[in-house]
Amino acid sequence: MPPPQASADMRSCRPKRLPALRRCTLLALSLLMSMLAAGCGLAAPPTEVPQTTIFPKSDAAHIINNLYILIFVLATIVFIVIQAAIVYILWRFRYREGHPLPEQTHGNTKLEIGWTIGPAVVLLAIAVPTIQGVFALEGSAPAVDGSGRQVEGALPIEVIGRQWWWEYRYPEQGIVTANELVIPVGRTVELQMTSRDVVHSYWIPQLMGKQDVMPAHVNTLWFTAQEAGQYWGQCGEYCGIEHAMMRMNAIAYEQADWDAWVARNAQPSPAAAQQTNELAEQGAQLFTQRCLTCHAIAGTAAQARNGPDLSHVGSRTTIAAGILRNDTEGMARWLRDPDEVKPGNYMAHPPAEWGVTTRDHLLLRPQDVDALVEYLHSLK
Amino acid sequence: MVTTLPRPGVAAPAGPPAAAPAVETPPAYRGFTSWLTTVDHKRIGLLYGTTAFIFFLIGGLEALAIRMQLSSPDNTFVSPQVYNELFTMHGTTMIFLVVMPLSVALFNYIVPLQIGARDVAFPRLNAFSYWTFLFGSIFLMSSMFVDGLPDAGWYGYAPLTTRQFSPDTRIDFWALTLQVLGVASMAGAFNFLVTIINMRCPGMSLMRMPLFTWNTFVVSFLIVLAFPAITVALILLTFDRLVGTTFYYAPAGGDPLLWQHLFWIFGHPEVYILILPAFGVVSEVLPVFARKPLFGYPFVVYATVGIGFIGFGVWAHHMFTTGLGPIANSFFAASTMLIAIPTGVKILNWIATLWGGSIRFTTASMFSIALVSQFTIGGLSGVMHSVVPVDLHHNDSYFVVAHFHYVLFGGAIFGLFSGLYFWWPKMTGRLLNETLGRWHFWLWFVGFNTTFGVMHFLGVDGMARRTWTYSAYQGWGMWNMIATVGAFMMAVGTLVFLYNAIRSLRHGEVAGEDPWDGATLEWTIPSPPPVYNFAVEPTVRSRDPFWLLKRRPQAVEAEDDTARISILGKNVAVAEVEEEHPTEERVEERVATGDIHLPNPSFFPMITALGLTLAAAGLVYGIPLSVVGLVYLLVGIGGWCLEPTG
Repeated sequence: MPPPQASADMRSCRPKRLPALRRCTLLALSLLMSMLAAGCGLAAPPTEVPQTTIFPKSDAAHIINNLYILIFVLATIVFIVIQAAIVYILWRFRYREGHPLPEQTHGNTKLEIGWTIGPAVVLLAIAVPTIQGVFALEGSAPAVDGSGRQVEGALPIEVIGRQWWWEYRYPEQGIVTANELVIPVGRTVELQMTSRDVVHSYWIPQLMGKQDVMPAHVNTLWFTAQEAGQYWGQCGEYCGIEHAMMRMNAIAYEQADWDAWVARNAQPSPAAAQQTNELAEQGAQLFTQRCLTCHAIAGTAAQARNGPDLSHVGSRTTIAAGILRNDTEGMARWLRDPDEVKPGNYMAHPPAEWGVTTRDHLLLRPQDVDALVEYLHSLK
Repeated sequence: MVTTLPRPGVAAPAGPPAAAPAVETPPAYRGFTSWLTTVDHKRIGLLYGTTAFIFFLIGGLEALAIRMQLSSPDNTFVSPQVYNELFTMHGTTMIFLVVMPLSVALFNYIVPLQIGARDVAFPRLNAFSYWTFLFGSIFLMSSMFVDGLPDAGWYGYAPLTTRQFSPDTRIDFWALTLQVLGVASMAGAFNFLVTIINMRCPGMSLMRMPLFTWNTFVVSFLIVLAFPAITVALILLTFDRLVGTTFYYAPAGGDPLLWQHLFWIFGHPEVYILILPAFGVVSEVLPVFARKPLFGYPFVVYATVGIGFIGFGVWAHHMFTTGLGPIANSFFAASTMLIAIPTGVKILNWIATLWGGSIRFTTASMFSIALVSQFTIGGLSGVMHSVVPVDLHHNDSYFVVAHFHYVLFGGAIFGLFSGLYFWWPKMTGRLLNETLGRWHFWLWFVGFNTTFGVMHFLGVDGMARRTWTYSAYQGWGMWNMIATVGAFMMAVGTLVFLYNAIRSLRHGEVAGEDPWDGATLEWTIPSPPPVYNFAVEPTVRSRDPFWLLKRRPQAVEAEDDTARISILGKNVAVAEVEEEHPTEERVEERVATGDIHLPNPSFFPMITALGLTLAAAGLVYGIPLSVVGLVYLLVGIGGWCLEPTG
């Protein structure tokens, strides 16, 4: 949590009649506090603020953060100087009864040229590292493999933005998945991103700055995760009714775990061909009857691409684009009434061109829900 | 027209021969109808101001609903659809229906007074601008009775706005309204350009123009040059939606990025259209309450013009995340940093104006001083955004929401309210209560910094804007609750102002013509000014004419034409005393004899504006309405051409 004293000090600046001096001091203090809190107060551990932008966990995010620290420090200095000057002047030159008319000065050209050139120099000092940063981030990826050696090219992953979820394709591994981006630690990845519908923006703050995902464009984004773990993000460009619920996360695996994940996901799930129990068997039949128009499960007849690929959905930690935990209750809640979880989504309101002619998939009995949950969770 | 006025002692020329006019002219200054037909810049200013303030209340209620919804995680105060309508309408309302018309209200009321003119150059066109703005706004609001309010954000990124993704009429209402409002803005801007170029009183060279008039001048240029870009963008969008073209629809070869370029080529100058009027107010208010002239007037003028120019070369800094490539991004980063220089010059010159002064703390001066302080914060976060890699985080996060509210609320709105407190006595003849004014100021100042200060933290914590809800695990609950509390403080402050304003109209202290020891021409005439403003055209020979009259009367006595600082002709002062409280009969007498030449009132601007709006509305409501609209439009233009101008 941010330090409590910041908010306590803001409260002390209540609108009451105070002598001019104290009023001005409080004014300055409250402004100062808010600015300082912006810099330091946010030093909360990422677990409490998982989308923090100032605890970078990748090389690309570090480039951004170093620039952020530079510009933040400079801005804070200017802020303090300007606000302090205002407060001092308000106090020193306040109106007092009986004082004569102040001297009627009209300007000072030397001074004014000085404070035109001064900021220009400071801005130049910012411009140089900024442009270096732009070329570093937007140039080709300085690709490394897991052990830090330079390699040919980054690991490509295709990202396709959809209203309101993400599709991922791993062309080299032959894997299709959704919403949870799985990456190896230490290996540079390059996201090649486009959109199937409107403009989205891909943003997992601890790993990368946002990059827009647009139809008719392919934007790329590279980064190298530096630590194993799960990182959280969400769509950064307003994209329609459920923009707020278009979230995603990235799971960075150490090399061995990554290899295992690739081996498992490059093949159809064992449960796709052979269900483990009767309930799952029922679920598989229900899926075939009601879900085929939109979803795909490798190794089965389900091959549609309107909704997320569910080939290994049982091994994901979240569903509905990062909205629900992928446990029995979460999956059941989604199947019972997707519109209650994520109002306006296309599972509840399929567009006409998808050819969904019935609403059967939304009219599941409790036992149907149980069966589908069992089946989907068996797909690991 | 009002530019040529008889000098005292010179026989007034006879009025135009009383040949039977093709169209009768309606009554001038009495009754309800006179407000519909007025071409008086002061009345049109009041109409603009009142209308904009009503929209300010509506936009504020939308903001409160947004803050209610976000006050806690997983809240369901409003549905996602309603939330999306709320933020779209909040942005559209505050930009196009509040800040712009509130600025225009001040332009209208103050600029002719500051330059010693009797009206604007095209009084009927001025009325047309107002009615077009009003009817266009009503048309936008009427969408709620059809399919619903627009819901694609105030910058309506294609292809979300194309008919493939927004099939109902919401976006048609939005696009057509912006076109109609664009007509109003363009007409107004041309009007002020011609007024300021042609109608300054003798002696008022460009470099003696008051800063508020200078900012009006630059803003008018920006409007004239920026609005064509969005006009084109909206025409393409409307064709995509109504005719089925595919300018923005990617699967058929269109490009969504085209919209973003065209929109921001308009959109960034628009930011300066919104803030420069407030800068103008500050440049008037600070000298008066520090009791010394603006520090470095030429620098401030050059900085204003410089901002106007560079403002057209920074649009892609709204698009750093769209993948324009490193060269384009570097260029726009550099141009964005460049525009910080003239802006910084202004801030430092304002501070230097206060230095050595004798600063009186009135509500007007406190709002202006707060603007300098708060705009500095908005400016600094703006420079942070010019650092492209950092912007990749901040763009479309709450950091940006904090930034532009510091610029547009802490800047534009604080500045415009400073101007309102400053010029209110000139407009109404009565002062606003200062105690209530202080309550208003402090509630807004503390509430504003509470609400938008904490949004910096939310942005750095990764909260994306335009999200109708968030989850507890994201850790944004506390800051959002604090922001909501601040919003309600501002709401209370607004109610205090509303009460103060209504109370002042009846019970406010009578202001007199010059309550603040003003420096410029508007303070030389009675409050509220007579319909003809100046009984005699004033003559100025420097920047602060009224101060010189008051502080160095001997210079005025001597009528020293070579004096470096200001002179207001002595005969003017005498004439003003005579006409301080002119009776209505006296005004009409002077108008009737042609001693004072005033434009006739007219119904036709309103009819023309109604026709224009109906013609646009027909594209949603049905073509027959467009036909009716075109008939009104033709009748309006025809009558406009045929009636005597007075």
